[in-house]
Amino acid sequence: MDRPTTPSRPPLRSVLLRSRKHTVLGVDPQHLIRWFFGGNASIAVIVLVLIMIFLLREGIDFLPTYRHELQTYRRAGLEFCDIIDQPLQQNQTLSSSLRQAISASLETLSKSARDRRDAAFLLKRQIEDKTTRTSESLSQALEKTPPLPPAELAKLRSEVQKAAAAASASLTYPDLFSAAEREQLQREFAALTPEVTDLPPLLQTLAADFTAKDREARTKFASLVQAQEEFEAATEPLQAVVDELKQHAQETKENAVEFEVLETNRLRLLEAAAKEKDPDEKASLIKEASASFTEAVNLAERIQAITSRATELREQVEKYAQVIEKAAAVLPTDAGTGVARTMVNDVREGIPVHAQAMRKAAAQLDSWRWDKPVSIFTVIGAFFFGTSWITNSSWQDFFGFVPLLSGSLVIAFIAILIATPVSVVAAIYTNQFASEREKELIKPVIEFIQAIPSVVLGFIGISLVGNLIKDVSEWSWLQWVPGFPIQERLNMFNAGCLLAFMAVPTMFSLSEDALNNVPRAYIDASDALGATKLQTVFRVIVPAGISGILSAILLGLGRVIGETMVVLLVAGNRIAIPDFSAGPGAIFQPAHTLTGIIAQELGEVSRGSSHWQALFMVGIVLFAISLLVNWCARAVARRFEPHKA
Amino acid sequence: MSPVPTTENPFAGDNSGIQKRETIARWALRVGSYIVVIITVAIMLHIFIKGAPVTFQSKWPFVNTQFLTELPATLHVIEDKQGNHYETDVNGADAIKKKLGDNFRAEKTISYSGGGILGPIVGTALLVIVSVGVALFLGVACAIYLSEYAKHGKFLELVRLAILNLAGVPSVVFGLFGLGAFVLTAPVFVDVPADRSVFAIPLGFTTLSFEGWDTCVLSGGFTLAFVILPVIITASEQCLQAVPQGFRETSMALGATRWQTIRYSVLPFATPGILTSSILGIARAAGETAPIMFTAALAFKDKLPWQKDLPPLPADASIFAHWDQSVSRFLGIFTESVQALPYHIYTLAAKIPQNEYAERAQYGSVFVFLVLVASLAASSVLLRKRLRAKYRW
Amino acid sequence: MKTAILTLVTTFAAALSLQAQTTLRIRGSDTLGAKLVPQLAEAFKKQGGKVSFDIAAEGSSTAFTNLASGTAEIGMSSRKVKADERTLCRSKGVSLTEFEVAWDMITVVVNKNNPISDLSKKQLLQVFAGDIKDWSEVGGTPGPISVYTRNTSSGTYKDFMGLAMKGREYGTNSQKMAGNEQIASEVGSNPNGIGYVGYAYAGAKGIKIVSIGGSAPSPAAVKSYPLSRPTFLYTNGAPTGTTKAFIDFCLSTAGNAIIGKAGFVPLSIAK
Repeated sequence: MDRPTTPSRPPLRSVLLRSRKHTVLGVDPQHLIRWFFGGNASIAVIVLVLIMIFLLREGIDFLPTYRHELQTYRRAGLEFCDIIDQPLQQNQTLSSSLRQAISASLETLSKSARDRRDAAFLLKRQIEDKTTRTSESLSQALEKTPPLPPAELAKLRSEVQKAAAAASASLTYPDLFSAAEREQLQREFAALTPEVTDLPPLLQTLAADFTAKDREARTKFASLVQAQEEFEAATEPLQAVVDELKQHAQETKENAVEFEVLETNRLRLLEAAAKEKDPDEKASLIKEASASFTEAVNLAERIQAITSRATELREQVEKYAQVIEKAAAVLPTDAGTGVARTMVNDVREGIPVHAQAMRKAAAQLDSWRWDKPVSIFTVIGAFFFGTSWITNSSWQDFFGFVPLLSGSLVIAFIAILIATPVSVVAAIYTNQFASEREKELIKPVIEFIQAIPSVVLGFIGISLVGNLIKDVSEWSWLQWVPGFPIQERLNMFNAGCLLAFMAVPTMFSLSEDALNNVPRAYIDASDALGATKLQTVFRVIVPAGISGILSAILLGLGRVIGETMVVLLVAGNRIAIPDFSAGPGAIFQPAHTLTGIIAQELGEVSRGSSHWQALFMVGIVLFAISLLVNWCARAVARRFEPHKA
Repeated sequence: MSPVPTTENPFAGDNSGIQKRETIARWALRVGSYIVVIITVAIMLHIFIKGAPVTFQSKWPFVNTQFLTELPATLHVIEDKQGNHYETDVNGADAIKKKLGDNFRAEKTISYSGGGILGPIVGTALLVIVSVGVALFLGVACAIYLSEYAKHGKFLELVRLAILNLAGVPSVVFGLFGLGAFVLTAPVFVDVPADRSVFAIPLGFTTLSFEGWDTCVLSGGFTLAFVILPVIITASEQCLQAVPQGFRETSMALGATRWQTIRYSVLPFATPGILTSSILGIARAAGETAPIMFTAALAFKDKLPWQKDLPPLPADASIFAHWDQSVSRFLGIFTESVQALPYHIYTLAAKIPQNEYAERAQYGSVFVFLVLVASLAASSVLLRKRLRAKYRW
Repeated sequence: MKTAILTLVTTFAAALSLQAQTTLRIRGSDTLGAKLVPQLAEAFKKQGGKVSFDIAAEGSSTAFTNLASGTAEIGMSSRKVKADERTLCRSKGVSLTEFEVAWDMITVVVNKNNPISDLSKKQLLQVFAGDIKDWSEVGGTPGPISVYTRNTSSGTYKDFMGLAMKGREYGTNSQKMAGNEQIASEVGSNPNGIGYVGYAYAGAKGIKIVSIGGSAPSPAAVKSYPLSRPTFLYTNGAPTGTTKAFIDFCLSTAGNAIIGKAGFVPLSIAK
């Protein structure tokens, strides 16, 4: 490593070495070799830097691009429409509650009739499923020209009847029906053939029963039904104005965007033409460029058509607010069930709030300026704190980061919550209690998990774990668990479980290392004081190794947040902030994640579009998170480092 | 947190029931640890039970060669009026339909589920060859520096920090990096640079243009190489460091240069270890999906990478007369997009229905994939154990 | 030595710029690419087309990005090309030629055990926009509705927005699925699920078709069904050689038979 240049060196050695000393381009080959290896060593640094460079290169333009898009959004007047349109959506939420209240009220009268009807139709469909094959043959045979001989048709008919009879006998008829009805159903189902198009009589009766009951219920709760209809209809005049404005704004935006694309294209063609030497080519390029010319959109003029309607819009909003406030006052209190009454009450309280929000929105219209520039901080805020990620929209694309981040974090939290106790317990047990033979079993098995590719686990999540969780959630004695029974087999909890499984090996081996590193003297001292094994483990060894365990948990967290395939396949891909108002049951909701969105959408967007850049921005954030987690893990490991004995 | 002695004896307390508590706690810990083991075994068993029947069969040669040697294809399921189902491919479908004649009832098709999985296996193999080749070259050189040359200092610390951080970078970020760097920017020799070229260096007879390799084995392989680089570096460094210091001192004492020492006294003893550890890298590279999604993988391809329908080379001349063409055709393999096993499994999991016909392809691929990856990992572990027993200094 | 290196370098260059001429690279719509086009491709090869196919189906948007960057010979799209995509292609020197190949009906499906069998157009809009949140609001068994949509690059996603939602956005409670089959299997396993798939995928297990305002999708009713739409293949300029042969095959009688069998409506019926 050192060049023999020190004068104190005995001369003999330099003589001995002289013969083999040749240089390449004046440099000692030993140095070249050393530099070669040193250069390769820096590869890790270079790769990290390159990752940063390439992510930034594709992603950093996102801020200006998005700013430009938001600017167009404002200048074309889309933002203006959204000021009214966004709070107006609340009407539908309230309507939805009212509709549910109505349905709950109606059910008090019509539920049994409906259940009977639905059950009967379900049974009929089951019969039809079981007899598809034979009845299909029959209907094909009937359509044939020339018609088949009657004997053959009769044979087919009898086959259908046999199948229907067998199917109807094999069904289990629910208790909703009386014994006589069951018998009648079975008889009628046995007679089902493709040639009979009328519904069996009992089914007709059941359907009629329900219609009658429903009508009766609707008269009973007529005031509620009417209130809901009126409430929903109240938006119509306002919505009509907003829709008209929206259409105008939309057109402006489309024209503006088209102009931009064509203009860039034109400029590029002209540039190419300027460079081109062949006159024919040049002429054709210039011709193409002039074809790409369009009139620029006069934004100021077009926005006038929108802003001039502000007064009208305000009046409409005021009218709307008054109508719904009146509606709230006369909302009936006689909803059928307790739940329905609460819902109606909520709506009653919600309407004034909604009306207030609408008035506030209308007041905002005045201070809105179409030419107010969008500051870069607004753009950064819109990305990092935006609550909606809407892409390929026909109205306006938004790239808000919060829904993805919240999905990632909740899933990671679930995973860590499950993985930590399991892996720490396993580490303590194998390290301190397990016999050699147990160690030989536990350690390789847990390390083997590391070799399972994540896409395989994702597949297991879809094909096995999802259904398993769903089935378990339907067990009647588990109904006290919040969120049970669950609807979606692909949800955050499912993804969290699988990720926990993936994180176990990392956390297990690092924790075990940490326990191994606890100085022997601590243990001896504890033993000498007469502590039991358990006391030694939990009061000496674990506290001493806590830094390693914590950093193991952090590294596990890093692994979990960065994992892609499992969340892409299993998390359910719903781009929305989890609804925590549902309580802890929210973990059974689907979500989308930072990693999942990249994997799902990157393959589909054109290079250099704002969407593409947004995805690279997400990548940059992920990269930053991974560095941060790593840094934290190191800091923790250093902070709590035990005094080495 | 350190157990600083306090005035109060932390171990004071009643001794009654200590024994019992100890046993209970011990059992609680034991159950906790075995939960992981049981879950792992259960998942493996599930995959084995569903997947093994696809891969193996009871007749000679006991392995379902068709599944392993055919390309993926669309599965046609034909049903007759008696309710029998026939599974076949597109060529078999017509024959069966003709045979059934009037008895034919319905035909349904399930993409990707027919045939076998040779295409994905070959693709994964190519990706692994490229990635491990690149990663071994870079990783071992890096490890040699770290273990043989480096002195404590800023640079070394920086390198170690970088390796640690590189190991923590999410795989999908590597995918983005590979897309930006190799697919869109990496240098190629072309006659006319494309529009998207970042910059081009004219070399006279050709142009070195930074316009990317497009999605192909090379792009994917290089991306994967960086994913597994930290694994390779760490493993190689451990192996180098396991070679006793005495070997180096002896060699240096005999007047050998540093490089000669490494070349003749260190590497020969470390190489077996490096190679076995790098098998772990292979397993990792074969298993990653996210990095190849945008850099190499295709959902469907009905040809192997070397089947290209090019005109055959002139038969009269020997192969050497056209060696440049032969070489270019060989290299052409690496400039193709391929199917890869993990991506194939993703496609099977996400894009086709879960039913009894698709299950064959799904569990079959998962089983084969897992067997490949797991046997690689296991062989690495076993070989390392044997090596450790063999080289005991 | 130097010449050897030079040759190697040029060879490598040649290899990197090598394009297999007889591979048809087809990119785009999942609706077309997951079922119909692979079958057309297989049939085309069987009847003697000497060509290999390279099909990736990630959504209609990818058809145009790939055509624009020259990484596909044929783009499949379940919707018409958008103005900005056409402009993008034009700016890359790619002029799109459009071929209508078949009609598809976007089919709204619910779980088999769902008593609902008909939705009005307004209810459909409200369900997918997230206004209607519970099945009881449309007369079904009470339970929160789970909405499954395609991913955003899908032409079906966009077409549905235009055909059924009057341009409104999907509600935030919608889940984005990678393909038709995935929607079918999720709806099939979730009693409160609703989603839409191409007509070819509506026969999957556990789901049933919902008629829209009384009109149920069927090949005969393709004109009157409110959610019918044409599907397209796009090429760069007028197709030549194998590309042309393949497209001609798709539009031939033999091709139409396959189209019909795959659950699409051939032009001969739709027109």
